[in-house]
Amino acid sequence: MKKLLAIAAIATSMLFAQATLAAKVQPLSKVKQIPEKADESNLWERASNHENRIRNSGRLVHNREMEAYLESLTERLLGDYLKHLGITPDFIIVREPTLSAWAYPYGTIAVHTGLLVRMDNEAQFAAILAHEISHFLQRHSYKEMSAEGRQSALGKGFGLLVGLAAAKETGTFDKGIMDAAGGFVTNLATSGYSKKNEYIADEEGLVLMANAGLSRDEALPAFQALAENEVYGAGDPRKMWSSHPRLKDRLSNLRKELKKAKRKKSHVPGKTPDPTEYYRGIAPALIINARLDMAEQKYGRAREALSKYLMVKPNDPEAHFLLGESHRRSKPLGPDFSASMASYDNALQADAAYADAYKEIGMAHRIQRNNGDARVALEKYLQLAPNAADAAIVRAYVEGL
Amino acid sequence: MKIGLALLGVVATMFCAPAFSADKESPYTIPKKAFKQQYKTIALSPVDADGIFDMPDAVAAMLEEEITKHLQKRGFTVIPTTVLGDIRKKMERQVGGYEDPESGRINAAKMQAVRTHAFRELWFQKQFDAVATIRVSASQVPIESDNVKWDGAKQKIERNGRSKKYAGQIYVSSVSFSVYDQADKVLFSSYGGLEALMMRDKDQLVALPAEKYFKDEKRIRKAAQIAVSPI
Repeated sequence: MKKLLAIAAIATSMLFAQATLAAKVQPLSKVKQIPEKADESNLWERASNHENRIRNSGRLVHNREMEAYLESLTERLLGDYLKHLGITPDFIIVREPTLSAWAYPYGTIAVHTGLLVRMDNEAQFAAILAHEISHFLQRHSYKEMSAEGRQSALGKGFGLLVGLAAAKETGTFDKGIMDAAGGFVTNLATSGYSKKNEYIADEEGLVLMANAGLSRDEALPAFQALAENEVYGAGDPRKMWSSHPRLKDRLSNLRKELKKAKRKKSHVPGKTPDPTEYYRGIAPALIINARLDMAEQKYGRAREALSKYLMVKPNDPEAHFLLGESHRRSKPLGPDFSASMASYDNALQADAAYADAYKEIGMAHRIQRNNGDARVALEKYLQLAPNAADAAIVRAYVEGL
Repeated sequence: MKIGLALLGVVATMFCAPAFSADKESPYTIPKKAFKQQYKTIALSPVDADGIFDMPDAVAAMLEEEITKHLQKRGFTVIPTTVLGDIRKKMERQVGGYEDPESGRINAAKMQAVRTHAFRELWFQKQFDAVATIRVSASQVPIESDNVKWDGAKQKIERNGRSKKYAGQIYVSSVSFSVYDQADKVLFSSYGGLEALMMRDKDQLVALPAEKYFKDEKRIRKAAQIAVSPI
């Protein structure tokens, strides 16, 4: 995978070991090449180490089609910047149910499956993406490191400050993935950009959306959805930093920006987004994240993701089966089994040899003491999956009916 | 399996200052009143322990006894651990055991199948409202000059030789008691401190040999009582 900009420059500039912090950090549109100086190279190197740890955590989703879709959306948002900067979009998709995205200082974007699936259309995801791209275009991480660096003369450690600025997130972080990435990242997790830079990214993000012909109104529900991190106990990390805006403040700023944008003569309302196009683009994430949510007993959220998936892949037996499981597991003893049974039936409509659907139909009949129906379904399961790990147990159920 | 903390490679340094302050959170995830109204019959899952412990059956029995006594005193009906234990044993026999006879490897799929089906069968056979787990686990907590306080317990650790005042981190064991509903959602979870798993040898904290665990019956029973006491 290519980095957005040539990271090879790091080695050369690292020769200038002692950093001279930039007096004024210009946005990418005004510089010829980044990293400009040794301290920025140092920042990139740290960020790259972080990215590698995430990549090696075993929690990445590798799906070329989905990556291509996200990259093409990034290209649309970058528009003219693509030529100016000569860059190639790059994504890492992390298998995590929480809602989070962040940009590395060299432009690689990381996103949790939880964020992808919670967005209801392309414009909503684009709003978060455009915000992160704006941080990259404005070189906010370097800018903040430089600002913090000035304070370092007062006694703060330079290394830590580089760490803080390396990759800052929109949304929240997952403790597991961040722990896997090492202590360095714990610093990132509680950090965010300053109020000023967050607001700049909000504003520029809306401009990028408009240039790409996307409805900016969708930015509001997109950012509102970030509050849902609370269901995972993750919350808003920015609450911990008084200088960083809370989500509530961010939303109120976004509302203002949207109003301002609509008042402009040049305002063109974006396209009403077609959700199916988006769901098709992120389909693998929908099913992966549904499994993650089920493992966390978030059955309602799993159902939402599966319903989106089935809108674009209506004949996928696994999705129907998982939908059935989400109903069953939330109320395993019923008394109403109709929703789960309907989904298992749909799974069998899509694939008549889907053994697990027969097993669950049989188990539901057994709980309801419909012994005849239970026997038929469980025997069918055993016929289709005679060597399943639980075949002997199911056989014993059948014998007891 | 008497590997104790040596497996963790633990020799804690004593002179690092701890930065630890835990908030006292409610052990209930639903209102206490609702818990008591909705969940009257609780089935106990067999007592379990982290892999570093070789917990004697007698210890498991003590923990179960204390927890059962407390729950019954509070008006709950308790289904003993033997019910789920027997279902599991029966199913393990049905699948022909977990070990592959040729390679000797544990078949994780069979183990998972037994675990899942045993719980489902327990729900199917018995009329109860919630299932509870009792588990002994290890964790790291702050210590100050040979005195450790954690999960409602306190202990002066074993020591050899003199030492100056110090503060650091030490491994301890606790008993956890958690209650789950049908959908496997946690309703209640609480800990009771059991014992320190390390001692001070001059100016270092070192792991106690595993043979020294679970020797103090009073501490074992008290840990269970603390864990279940919020109910």
